[in-house]
Amino acid sequence: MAFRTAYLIAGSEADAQDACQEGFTKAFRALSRFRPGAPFKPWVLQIVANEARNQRRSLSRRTDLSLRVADQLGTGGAAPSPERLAEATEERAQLLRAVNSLRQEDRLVVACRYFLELSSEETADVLGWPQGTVKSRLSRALDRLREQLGERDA
Amino acid sequence: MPDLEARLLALGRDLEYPNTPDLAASVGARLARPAVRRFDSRYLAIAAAILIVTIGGLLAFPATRDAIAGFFGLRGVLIERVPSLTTPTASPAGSLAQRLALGRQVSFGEAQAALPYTIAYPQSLGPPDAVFLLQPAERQGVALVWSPRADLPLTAETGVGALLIEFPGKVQPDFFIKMLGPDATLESVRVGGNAGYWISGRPHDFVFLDPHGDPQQDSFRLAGNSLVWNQGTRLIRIESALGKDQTLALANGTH
Repeated sequence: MAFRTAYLIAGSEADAQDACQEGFTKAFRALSRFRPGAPFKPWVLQIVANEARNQRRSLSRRTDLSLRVADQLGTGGAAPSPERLAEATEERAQLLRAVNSLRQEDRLVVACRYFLELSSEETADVLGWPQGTVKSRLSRALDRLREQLGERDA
Repeated sequence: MPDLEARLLALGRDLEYPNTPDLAASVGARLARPAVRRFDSRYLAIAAAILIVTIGGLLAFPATRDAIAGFFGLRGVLIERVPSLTTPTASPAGSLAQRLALGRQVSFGEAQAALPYTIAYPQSLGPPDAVFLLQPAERQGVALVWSPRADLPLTAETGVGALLIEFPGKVQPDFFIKMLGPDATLESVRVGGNAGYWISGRPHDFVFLDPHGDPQQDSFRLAGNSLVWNQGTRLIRIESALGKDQTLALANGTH
């Protein structure tokens, strides 16, 4: 989870690894500031995400996300026909292309909420944005995706 | 077609991510750099402890683990008290599963069929009186309960003799120590050559690392003593009213 978060934010495997190393080290050294009884995971994730953001700022790199190979795709139930599998694969590929084409901040909020399945509060912590900003950017990002996919209401 | 949000959630589960790297050695090396010299020996011991957990696979090898622990002087007793934790909440009324938040009760056979590992338990206790699959199911955990009997005294307020909880994961001593609370003491022990911790008093929360190296939180269920240790890829915890030596004997006979 920490590594995937760092990967989505930093945009490369090497930067994500650096972010995790630095983040875990800082978390260890900052243990005295951890509030006992508070949820532990978001705290660590926030520190790692912060490192990942620093990596991104310094390198302004961006890697497009990619799908696993088609035969490993989750198909949700009974084995589909080859035609249906191809269709589902194309649908997902199209959706991923749309996500990849979003501007970075929109892509990040989509990634946190749907790919990492973080709550709004956790997303705000991880990205360092106010919760209101998370909500408004998410809404804007979903609108843009619908627009690109030709699903926008008239 | 499902709505966009549902499709995005499904897409997230099919994304290609790089494999999570082995971070143990590099994090350990950073902790050992000059900045760590500011710490006293207690922190050095904790720094060694961070290396023993699953931030990476390197430390899955006992020889490596022992070498690093030895280098940092992590031998013998490690006791820490932490002030200002809140009091644990009382166990709610209801069935055993509800009171102890143990998940879904099943037969031993059903539990074994649902899990990817062979369930280990102290052979001297015999088969458990009740078996629960922990929730969420992804944790792949099982809880085994033994009723009180002559060799297994009642644990206060629970009606249980002994509770064993087992799931894939590793103990994460530095964070775990901090979350134990002011009324618990911790002693490092060895169980069959593996790192273990004897916790007495009234511990608070239990923090461990799941197989992905991410910290997770759990609570102690009984108001008794606990022994936590790593066995293979799993983390096993016994809670009971037994003393340290008796519990260690149970743990050493767990397979």
